[in-house]
Amino acid sequence: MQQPIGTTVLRMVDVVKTFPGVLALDGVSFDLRSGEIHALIGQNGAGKSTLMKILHGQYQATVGSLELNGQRVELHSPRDAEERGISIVHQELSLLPNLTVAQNVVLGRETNRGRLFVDDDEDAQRASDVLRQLGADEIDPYRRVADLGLAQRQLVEIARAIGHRPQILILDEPTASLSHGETTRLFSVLRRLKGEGVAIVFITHRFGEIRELCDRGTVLRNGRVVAVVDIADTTEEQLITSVLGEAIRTPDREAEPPLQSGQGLQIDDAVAGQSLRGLSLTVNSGEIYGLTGLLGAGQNTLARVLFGLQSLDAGAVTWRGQPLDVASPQDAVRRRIAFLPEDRRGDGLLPNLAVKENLTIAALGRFRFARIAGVLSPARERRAAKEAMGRLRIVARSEGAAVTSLSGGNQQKVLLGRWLLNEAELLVLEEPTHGVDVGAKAEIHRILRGLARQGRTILVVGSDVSEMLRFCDRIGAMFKGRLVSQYDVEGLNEERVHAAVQGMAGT
Amino acid sequence: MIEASRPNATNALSRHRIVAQLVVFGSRYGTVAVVVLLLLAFGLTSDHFLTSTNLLNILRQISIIAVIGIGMTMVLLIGGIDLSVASVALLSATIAGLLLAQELVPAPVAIAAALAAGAGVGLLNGLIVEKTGISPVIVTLGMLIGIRGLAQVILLLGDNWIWIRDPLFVTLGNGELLGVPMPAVVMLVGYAVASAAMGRTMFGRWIYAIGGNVRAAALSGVPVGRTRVSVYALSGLLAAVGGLLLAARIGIVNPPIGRGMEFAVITAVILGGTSISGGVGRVERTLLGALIVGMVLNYMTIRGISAEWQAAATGFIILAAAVLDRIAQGGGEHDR
Amino acid sequence: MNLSSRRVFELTHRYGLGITLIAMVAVFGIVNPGFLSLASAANIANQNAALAIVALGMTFVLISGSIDLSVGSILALLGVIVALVSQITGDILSAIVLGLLIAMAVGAINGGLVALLGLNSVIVTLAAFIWARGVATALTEGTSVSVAGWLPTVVNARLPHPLSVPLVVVVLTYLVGHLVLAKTRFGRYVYAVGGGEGSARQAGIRVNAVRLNVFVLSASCAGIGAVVEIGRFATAQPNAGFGLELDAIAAVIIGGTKLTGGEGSLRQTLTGVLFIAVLNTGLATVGIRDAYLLLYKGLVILFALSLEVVSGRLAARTARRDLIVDAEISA
Repeated sequence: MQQPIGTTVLRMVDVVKTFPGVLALDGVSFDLRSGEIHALIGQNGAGKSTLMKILHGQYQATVGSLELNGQRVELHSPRDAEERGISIVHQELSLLPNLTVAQNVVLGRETNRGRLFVDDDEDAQRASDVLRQLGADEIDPYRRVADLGLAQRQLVEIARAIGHRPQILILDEPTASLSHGETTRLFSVLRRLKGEGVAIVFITHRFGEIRELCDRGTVLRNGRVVAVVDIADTTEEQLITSVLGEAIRTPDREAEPPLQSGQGLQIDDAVAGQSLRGLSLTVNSGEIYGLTGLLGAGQNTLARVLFGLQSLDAGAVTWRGQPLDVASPQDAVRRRIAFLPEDRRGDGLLPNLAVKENLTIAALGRFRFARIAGVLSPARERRAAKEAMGRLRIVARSEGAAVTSLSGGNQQKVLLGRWLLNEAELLVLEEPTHGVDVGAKAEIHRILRGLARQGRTILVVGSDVSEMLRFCDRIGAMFKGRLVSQYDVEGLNEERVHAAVQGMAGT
Repeated sequence: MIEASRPNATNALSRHRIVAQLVVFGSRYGTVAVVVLLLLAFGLTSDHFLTSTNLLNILRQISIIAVIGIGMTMVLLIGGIDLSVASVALLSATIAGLLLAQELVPAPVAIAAALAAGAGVGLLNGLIVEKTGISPVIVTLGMLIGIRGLAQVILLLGDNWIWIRDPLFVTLGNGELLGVPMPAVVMLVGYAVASAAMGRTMFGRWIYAIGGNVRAAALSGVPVGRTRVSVYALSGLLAAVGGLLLAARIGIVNPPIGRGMEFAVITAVILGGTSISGGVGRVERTLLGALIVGMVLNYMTIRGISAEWQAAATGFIILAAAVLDRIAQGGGEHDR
Repeated sequence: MNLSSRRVFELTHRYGLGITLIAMVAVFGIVNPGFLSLASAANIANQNAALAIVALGMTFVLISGSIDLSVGSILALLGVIVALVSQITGDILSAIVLGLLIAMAVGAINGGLVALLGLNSVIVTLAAFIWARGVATALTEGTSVSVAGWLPTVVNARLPHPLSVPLVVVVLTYLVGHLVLAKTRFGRYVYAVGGGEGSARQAGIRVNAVRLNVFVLSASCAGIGAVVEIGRFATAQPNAGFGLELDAIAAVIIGGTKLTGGEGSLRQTLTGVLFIAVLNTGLATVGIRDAYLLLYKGLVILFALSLEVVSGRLAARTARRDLIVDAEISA
């Protein structure tokens, strides 16, 4: 079914899509060639997701048409799309953890034995074949997906997608949770598919990856196409400008007071299970320290220890000169320690409540009515919420709007705002700009730098090193539970960090 | 796919906006509207319905369910459920009744003992759920069976039949305050306090936070464990209050009392719009839910419909309410 | 023997229930030696056949991620309907067929509301719990209805102990049920829907149809149970099966199926049913009075549930921790 490399396999023509009260796509045209990896770029809310959902049959365009291999088609469901050779790998993996690898790979197209029955062994064979094609033979098809790690699950998801023998493969932010090594492996798989003539749509926020992997790119802004480029001929700045509509300015770091050490966080020889094996680290107050490492290197464990979710087996933590032993998250909040978990939707937001309540939840004690225990003053709460919204430039109908109605970037700001109201002095942030578009990322960087200037101590745990270079003061690389290297951000080459987290000496 | 000109796109938008606004209005005031509608419909089709005697009667009849419903609403809000309330009510009635019948202690002490027992069972429910992580459906199910058994064992001491003759209880069951039946007074006071607590206190806010996203609440410093256990204890306490009201109203305590009442309570809470999955709902609305059930059953009694069909009708009411609620939400995510 | 905590949890999870069951049988046997006879075993099977059949349907529903609180009431309603129709037409066979069709219709109502309208299954089946029994009581005006025809004779036929007709019915339904759950596409899709509705739908699985059908299946099981019960007693009672749904849920969960869906099997359910069956009949056989019966039953169920749920959870948690540790060591 593959077309010769280079032919146009897909044309989306003048697609318009409306939802109640929203114009999501305003006449978008998009074309795709076989054997290319095409980046789809734009801020959250620019329309990338919507466009792909139309391509994958989940939505139908309000106006506009779709042509596959030169023929007009109408896609009424995801199954429709898959039968025509369009497969998608979502950002949130859509595997069924309670089923086996094989059952997931063949889901919906199980081998038939008679009209009613399924054949477990035949399904396992089919799954093995596909996994081998991806170079992932070590995954056992009879294993339950729940027992697999994230990177392997993603490979199973991809196996599922290409099991349909697709012409077009859509990948939505596939590297968000992958380590550097896993990303490299994913890219080699994708190049292999590209060589076989598959047309790949690659949605990402990471410009480094676009440069490394993609041939062409389409930039969306506010539901319209603003640029279609050859990646090799375009600079990162040009791309960012197209995405935002304006040039981005890195925060000004000249006029800042000197850092005061001894007023910050000090960790000595921390040991926790198998995750931390003698970690020593100092973060000064007034600085932003970026901690990175492979999955399981221990940086996330450190975050959990600092917030009272886990305890140390050995070693000491000192905060502002005093020993710090956090018993529980409740204890941490009382001590003005903030924690922003990686999973914003799962662990951060209170979806049934308004923006106001999401902002004040960690600081309710401050809004007491006339000092009476436990009773709140609605007026003081509202005032504090409005002030925080103003300071952080949170865009919402009002402080009483449902927090679920905000964009991803604004939701992230609400979570940051929660800790501002708590007046947290030590902030431990996991992937603070995860899944947030370029514009909001810059704003969050600005907010964090502002907090640092006020003398707060900020520890950022992340995996996007090139982004951390933009707003952190120092970067620490962890490997197997220890800090192996530490760098000042001035003049730091990203590659050195990548090498360090993989344990290469001398970096 | 249609090839339409651009103006149609904007027309579609404005149409959608109006529908959205109607839906929001409907979901916010729906329950009140239903109550008003029923009042009108029943009042117009029956001479006996809108008399003050009858309306006060309805208030009296729903008060027990409504009081227990306060606690149940809170438990549902934190994402749990308490199936043991009817059994706890029986236990509390039994304890108070027995203590009074044997004339062991004065009435206030008997009441205190009953309330303590109820709160104790609730506390136990909460602790088991909290410490072992077993689903509250299962824990309170076990309690439903076990506590009813316990109460019935205790009742054996009283030969399965206890008369309630204490003057305080008689007043509680049959007295009036400013023309309002005493059980209804207790109910209204309870709702006033609960409503204020849920809306204006840290404890109330914690409940909503836990029901919305328990992990996020914990990570924001909310004392999740303590709050959850307290809510179950409160549910037990309020169930005990309900049991006392029931004993006071009927005048006797015997084994079948309150059987199946938990379902009537849950009905009232759900009719009031509180979500089974937690985080959404208001205590005041449960009162409306209880009113709806009470009005419908009262109307059916006035019209001479048999008790059996009334029971059947209750089931249909829940369905109707759930369907209407779903339509008002406009077909969002499926609830399972 | 190196007993890590993980091992302890796993062993408890795997054998705890069996050991408790044996202990229960032993206790009952000591108090009343007659309990340990084949006749007694037949008794257990007969008294709890309806529970077993209903638990089968409940297993499907729970795996798919829903719950059915109405099976007891449906059982009563169906019994009443079949008995009444048999009185009117004089033909028990057509009454049974009609009854099962009505059972499927009721299941379709429940399933339709859950699957097509997206209502919560707790609410829908709670409502059915109330209205089905209400209708059953109203139809009989509170009294019992006798069954015309050969049904009672067949159901109560004497087979060599411990066999009995109800037991045979249970075995047959479980064989068919296992075939469906483990070997058919529908069965696989029940697990899929329970594992993640969104993902299942994305894969093209007709989630609504699966959801609807599990409720039809559950109600049909209640119907089969109803036929067995009215056969055993030769009458239909409007208060039959009161509390059956709770017993069935307890049995399924004790057996190991999770309340959250996606996991479970009929073999596990059968273990749980056996447990509840022995408990039910055992308590009655040793002469516990009604009041104490509930108390003990509640306590034992709570214990068994804790055993299953807590040890299972702890075993899983320690297993997961080991998995992460292994991953980190090899990283």
